[in-house]
Order: sequence, then structure tokens, then C-alpha cells
Amino acid sequence: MLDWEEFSKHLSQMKSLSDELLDGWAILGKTGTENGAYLAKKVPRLFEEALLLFEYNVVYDLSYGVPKLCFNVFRTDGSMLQLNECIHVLGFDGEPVLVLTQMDHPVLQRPFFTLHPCKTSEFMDFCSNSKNPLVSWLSAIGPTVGLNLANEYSQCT
Amino acid sequence: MANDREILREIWEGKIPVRFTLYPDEVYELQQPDEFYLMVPRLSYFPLVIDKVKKHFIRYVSNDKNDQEMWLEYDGQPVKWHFPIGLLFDLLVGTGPDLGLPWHIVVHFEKFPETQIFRLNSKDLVEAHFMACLKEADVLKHRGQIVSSMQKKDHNQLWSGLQNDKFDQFWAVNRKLMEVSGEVDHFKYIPFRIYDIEGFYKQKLVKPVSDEGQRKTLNDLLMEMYPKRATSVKVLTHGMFPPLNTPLQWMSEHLSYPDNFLHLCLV
Repeated sequence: MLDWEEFSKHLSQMKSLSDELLDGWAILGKTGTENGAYLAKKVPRLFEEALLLFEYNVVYDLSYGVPKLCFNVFRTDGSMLQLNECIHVLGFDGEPVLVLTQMDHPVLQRPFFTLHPCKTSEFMDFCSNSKNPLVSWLSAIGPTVGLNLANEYSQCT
Repeated sequence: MANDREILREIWEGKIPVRFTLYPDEVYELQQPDEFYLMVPRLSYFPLVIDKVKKHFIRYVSNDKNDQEMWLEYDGQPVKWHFPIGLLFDLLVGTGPDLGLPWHIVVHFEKFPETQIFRLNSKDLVEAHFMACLKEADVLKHRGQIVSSMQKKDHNQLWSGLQNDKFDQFWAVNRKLMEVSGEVDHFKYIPFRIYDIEGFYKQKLVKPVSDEGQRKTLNDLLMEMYPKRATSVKVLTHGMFPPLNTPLQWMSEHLSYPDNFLHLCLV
């Protein structure tokens, strides 16, 4: 379990490292308010000759006391990919999909595809030796939804 | 324990009359469709009760549009149908001498507002959303231990009880989620969301008792959430204003929606 203070501390640390690495993560929202801020990054990617824009957000789940990774994928015309399209792009075809559902973004309160937080807490216990459990968690689960953290991030864990 | 059965019944039986009309610009046939009237349970969700509405209107829209997803609008805004119906009504219409019943909802088949509302085009998706809320509530109340100790058939019974409007079936299982465990006579935290007029909600970890062991009331919750303006606000839920001295633990047991959250609208 992480409380909001710890979460925002790890968030700022990751953001500073991202600035050094020119990796593009930004803190958005209101940092002073409990559960008011989140980390965001946009990643363009070519898929079957179409340009897609992945919008990743790392947010805090107050009830579970864990971070959550959520994202939306946009086409160049601004339209959003639906669940089955995301599953195809991410190469999940044929796998159980209910781990990935639309949930309210805790700050924006709009639908985002979200990895359900119910297992995250066990995972966070596993990362308890890390100096930055947020980065440890993100580097482990990010790749399932196409988000790879650079090796340099390991220096803060 | 949720012992005041009459209250639970009364809450369960709350219904709202709704008048659905098709958005005029989307009518493709020469003849305008009739309006469609439905009495909907406050505790249910729109995607569970609008099959008939879809069937009624779809033959009036252009053929190349009717594979598109239906969505609902009220007063120029898409209806966030992942919220329970009663909450939407309290939030969007509120209360007063002139509610303008039946509630007028406009039906659309074009331009699904995908950035604003969930795609809930199958009952499975609504169920997944409902179960996720229920789990979250149990994490707050019992560290998630009750939901995870339940069997799949209990989960199914909760869901089908809600879907088929079967009070006894639903409460036979929900009762366990409303129990307090072990030494204490209260939940760890109260699962609630409090909505402002713009429709944004806040959550916070609020215990049902104070550090001194005193039972907290709705007033205490408002003081914790809005220290500066707690005295000037009222809270609307299930179409009524609960007295400010109502104990939080009792409220959570009796006035929660089936997703086990209290949904409170600031007025």
C-alpha cells in the first residue's frame, strides 16, 4: 500500500529522471490536492501502416492505495480505439480481456482503459524493497500495454 | 447490520418515469416516431433497461447508421450511464416542486461521445463495471476480504438480483457485504462519492467513527470534505435529504446503491 504522499513523492522522482532523460513524462492536474495529480506521456506508434497516439496516464487509486496505469489510443483523425481494437493492437487476441476495462480516470473523470488495480497491491508488496516502487511496478506491467521504460529508470529503484 | 428492512425495501422500489424521444435530426423516415415511456428502477443502470427503447427507435434511423451505438442525452449533455439511474436523476434534475416528470431523455444513434461516456454495449461490460465498484467498496469496508471469499455463484446472484429486480435474491448475498467483522461494530472506511453540481465527484478515506470511538454523522463527513462550507450545503440521495445527524455507518448499510457506495449529491 502507498498513501497519496508517498505516491506523489515517487511520481516527482520519476518525473525528474524523465526530464534528465528527455523522456517526455509530465505531471498534470493539481499536485497540492489529495489524488489531484497524475503522470502523463504521449507515445506515437505505427501499427499496420496507421499512426496511433497512445496517451498513458499513471494515476493514484485512493481505495486500493496503489498506482493505476490507464490509457487511450487515438487515430490521427482524433477518434479513439475501442476495446477490441486495443486488444488487437496490443496483441492480446484470444486472451481474457476483463483485466482491461474502461474506468473513470480519477482526476479527469472520463473513460480510460485501465488495468484493474485489484492485483496491484500484492505486486506492490513484492516491490517493497525498491526505493521507488512506482517505477518498479510501471517497468514490470507497462510492457503488457505497450509501454516500455528505458533501462536508465532502474537507477531510482 | 442492515436491519431496517422497510428502508431497504423503500429504497429498492424507487422508480422514475422516463419519456424517451429520438433526436429529430436523426429521424430518417417520413413519419416521426412516437415517444417511448418507461418506468425505470432508480437502482438500475440505463444500459440494462433500454433494449425496448432501442428496438422502438432503430427503424426510424438511416440504415447505414443503425449499426451504431445508441446513447442518451439530457439537457444537451451525454448521460454518463455507468452511474446508477437514481444518481443521474438526483445529479441532473435534482429536486424541487417542479421536477418536470416524466424525465425527458433524448436518444441518439450518431456521433457516440466516446471521450465522455463509457461504451456499455453489452450487459457483460455493465456487469464488469458493477463488480469492480462492488470490489472497491469492499476494499474500503473490509479490506476486500468478503468479496474475495465469496464464490462465483454469489457474485452471479448479486448481479442477477439487480438485473431482474429481485430484492430478496440480491439482499441474501448483499447482507454479507454489509456485515461488520470481528471485534468492531463498523466498517474500516465508508465507501462514498460526493458529487458537485458540475457532476464531478470526490472520494476520501473517511472512517465511520472518530479517534475517540464516537459514531460519525453525515455532518462530520461534510466537515471533513468541505471544512469551509459544510454548514451551507445539503446532500441529496435517492431523491431525499437525509438529516445531517444520520450516523454514517447506518447510512452506508441502508442507503448505499447496489454497488455498495453511497452516492451523495451536493445541493
